Amino acid sequence: MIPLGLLLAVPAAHAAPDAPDDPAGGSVRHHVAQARQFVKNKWYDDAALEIAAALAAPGGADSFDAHWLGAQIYYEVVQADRALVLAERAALLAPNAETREQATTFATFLRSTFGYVALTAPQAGMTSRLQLECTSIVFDADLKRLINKLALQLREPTALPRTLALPDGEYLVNGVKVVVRADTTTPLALEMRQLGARGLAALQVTRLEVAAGTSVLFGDDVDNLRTGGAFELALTLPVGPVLLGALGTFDLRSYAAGGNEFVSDPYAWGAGLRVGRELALGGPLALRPSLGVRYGLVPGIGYACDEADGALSCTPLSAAAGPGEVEIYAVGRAITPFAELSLEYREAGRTTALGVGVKAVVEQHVGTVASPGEAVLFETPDGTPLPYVATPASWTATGIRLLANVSFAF
Amino acid sequence: MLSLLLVLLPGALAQAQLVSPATPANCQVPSWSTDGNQLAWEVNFHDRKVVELYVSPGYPGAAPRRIVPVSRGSSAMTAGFDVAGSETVAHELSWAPAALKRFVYGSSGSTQDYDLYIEGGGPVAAAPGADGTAAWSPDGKWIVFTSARTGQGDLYLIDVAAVEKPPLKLTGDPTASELFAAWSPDSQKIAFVGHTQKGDNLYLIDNVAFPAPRPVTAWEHTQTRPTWSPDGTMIAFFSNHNDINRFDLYVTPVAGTPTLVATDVALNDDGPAWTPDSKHLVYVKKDEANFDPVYAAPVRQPSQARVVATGTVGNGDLDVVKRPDGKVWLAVVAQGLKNDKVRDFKRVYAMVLSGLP
Repeated sequence: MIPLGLLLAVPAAHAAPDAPDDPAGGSVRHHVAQARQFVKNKWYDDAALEIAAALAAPGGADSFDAHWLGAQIYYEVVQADRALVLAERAALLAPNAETREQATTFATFLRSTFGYVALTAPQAGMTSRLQLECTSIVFDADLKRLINKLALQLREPTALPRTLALPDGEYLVNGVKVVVRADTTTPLALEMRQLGARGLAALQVTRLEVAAGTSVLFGDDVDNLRTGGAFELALTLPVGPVLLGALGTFDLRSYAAGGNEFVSDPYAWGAGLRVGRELALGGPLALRPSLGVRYGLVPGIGYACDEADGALSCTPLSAAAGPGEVEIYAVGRAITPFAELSLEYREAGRTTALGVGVKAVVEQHVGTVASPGEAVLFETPDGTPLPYVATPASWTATGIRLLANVSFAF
Repeated sequence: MLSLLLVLLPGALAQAQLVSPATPANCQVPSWSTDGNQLAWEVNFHDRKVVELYVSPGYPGAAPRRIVPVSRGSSAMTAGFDVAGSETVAHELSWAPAALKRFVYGSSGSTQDYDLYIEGGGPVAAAPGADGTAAWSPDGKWIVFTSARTGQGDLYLIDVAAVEKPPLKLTGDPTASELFAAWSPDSQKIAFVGHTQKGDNLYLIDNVAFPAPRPVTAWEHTQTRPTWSPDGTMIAFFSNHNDINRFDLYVTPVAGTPTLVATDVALNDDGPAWTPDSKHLVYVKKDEANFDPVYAAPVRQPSQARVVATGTVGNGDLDVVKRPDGKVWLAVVAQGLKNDKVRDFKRVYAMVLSGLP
């Protein structure tokens, strides 16, 4: 029996003549030689790329060396389906009876040993970390090593659907039992709870979030604003490694006006975007830090005004020497960058998931009021508007929002 | 006619039946599987220094299959995929518990380095240095074997659930070789032979989890091939400490003094054969005048030993098991039946063992 190492040194009689060695051009012979070098260093993934290049090169389809070495490389990287195709082709291309027997025996071994699991997720394109565990005894040390190797590979985010080649036996994939039989493909549809509720899987689906809580603003320019209710509606979409969110907010604002008068104002809308990462804490718990920016309205920005030449000249209440002849409370417009930390507990069903959690948001409002603008008297809202000029028109405030959150993933 | 048949049938049943096909070589070491459904044996081609291993259902006419190790290059990718040729040794088979439907054996494979193979798979715990005399634990979880990988022969333990991991080293006496390991039925203890320049004696590891061997015998010459009684209370073995030119059969309690069962017996390669009820030992008496007959001796009353009428001559290695039919069967290699005109190579015979003393 000729050791295969020597066999590969024998020119393949049936192979098409290779193009002259040209590393830049990439002949079959060059790629096969490079693959062998990678194999010696146990860089099997790189070797697989070289074999793919060899097979794609002119003459590669008829190269015994490329097919035979490729079959063994793909076996080593646990792609038995690909290895089988190459081994069968190698048997056809074999230059002599001995190598033909070797290739045929290897192909028979692959066909009689490996079966396939066709993994699918509720949505095509989902990625998940997979836990693979062999629950039957594997008596072959080499096959056991390949299973362990594949299990390590699958711990990295894996795009689904995907077909796994596994030796005949019983396995758990993310806790779901699957029986693999040689030369047979077994479908396995992983549900949402098997992808995200436990273990290392990170859930990546579109989510609708509804949150409610309180909001408070701090700052000299908003000293008269009271703590109010806060509501938020958001849509979060996974894009690669991050979560993009679009959100709309509404706050129930009230503020002190003219001393002890309290006024509620509905003009407290906002809209914005955020980007964050989801960190699975273990089991169904997930932490999501995010950064975002919002554009919104903040009513009740107070100014002390004095009449001059038929118009009101106004300064911020916090900077005014006195209350002024009149006070106006303008609706401010603000760009609000914010940082958010969300903690969520998610219960996944078959194709959807429901989550509950809390959010804490710290934000900085950088706003202005309309100036020049027009104001109406509080007592006569239908009266003649009075023009005013606010100096300065800008204001700032720091805000904190604490919200309870319910999310629905689909 | 009917009465004649009634006379003939019991005699026919009492005579061993040939179960191995004709081969130009001696059969040796018959070994029943733990459930009695299969029978393995070796065929020794002395001239070619080749030993072939066969497994069969153990009934006359049943075709045996040859066991050949398959060697697969894995990390040594350029070594490729190889099927062992015909000039190899495959031997020393040890059956797993019936539920596992496997066995382990030793083979020189295609590399001429003796490794262990589990049926249907590649080498297990392979390393430079000969591995052999493997024994599968009755609970199926472990395989103990002797390896020369780190010395002159130490006992190692393979975790069957993690065959890809390196074996655990059980013994490492630099002055001795440890071999012929035998599991107790509860898979907790291992009896083995410690070979030194002064001789071979039996040792016992009382708890595999904490291997601390203690001597069972301390005699001259050779004490070898320990086997446990199925009830786990006794160990039988061969010894030539009384006369270096002959082997005697002994039995010892796990904690006690060995007692003589029979003298001048053939050295059974797999060790003394116990009946399933632990009450008898079956062995071959070296008695050329009577063609080396098979005997069965009650362990408690060895003087009551009686010949087992196998109808065979030139008996050698043997094994005993309880088969699925509920009967106790004997497998023995012999040079033929008493009435055979041609007796050349040893073949494997099987029969129901009955009428024990």
